[in-house]
Amino acid sequence: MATQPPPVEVRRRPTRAILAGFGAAGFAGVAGGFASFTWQATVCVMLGGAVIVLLGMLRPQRRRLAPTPRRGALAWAILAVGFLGWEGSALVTGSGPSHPSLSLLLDPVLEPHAVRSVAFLGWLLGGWMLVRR
Amino acid sequence: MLGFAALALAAVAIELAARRPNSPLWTVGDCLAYITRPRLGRLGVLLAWLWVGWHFFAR
Repeated sequence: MATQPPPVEVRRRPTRAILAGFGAAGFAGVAGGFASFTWQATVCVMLGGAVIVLLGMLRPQRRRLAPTPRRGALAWAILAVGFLGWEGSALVTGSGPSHPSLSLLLDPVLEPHAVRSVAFLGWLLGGWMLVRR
Repeated sequence: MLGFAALALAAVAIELAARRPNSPLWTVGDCLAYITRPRLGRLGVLLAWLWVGWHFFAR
């Protein structure tokens, strides 16, 4: 009886994921240095966004079935309408200190380079998590 | 500011309630699974994500 070779242990190498993570972090570090309303900031957002959107549309989707009945989503629908209404009313009334919009609240928070970079990286990570679904 | 804080708390409460056993509520993941099932829904969600980035980092 011929002896069979031992099974080869196939291990996934995380090299690509680690490289992508470092790349995203470096990109976020650069993007966070650009203030709003600059063409550099727009380019960074569009570049990062284009990569994620392309990956999202080209990557095969995992077939995860949503549960039924659909009324289980009603609470989220009400919350979404509430958020859009609150944000919309802030914009319509001029987004002042008495009723600020979300961007008015976050602008001073996102001003420091480090915070902006971390937030940018968080945004990229959120996009990646949407793509991985 | 209190309005956004209340909305955030409500979101956390719904998610926690949805994760309980035999809960009739959907989690955020369930909602996204439903919306992104058609290709157009997937594109819509990604474009909404892109808009969020543009709104807070570029505009």
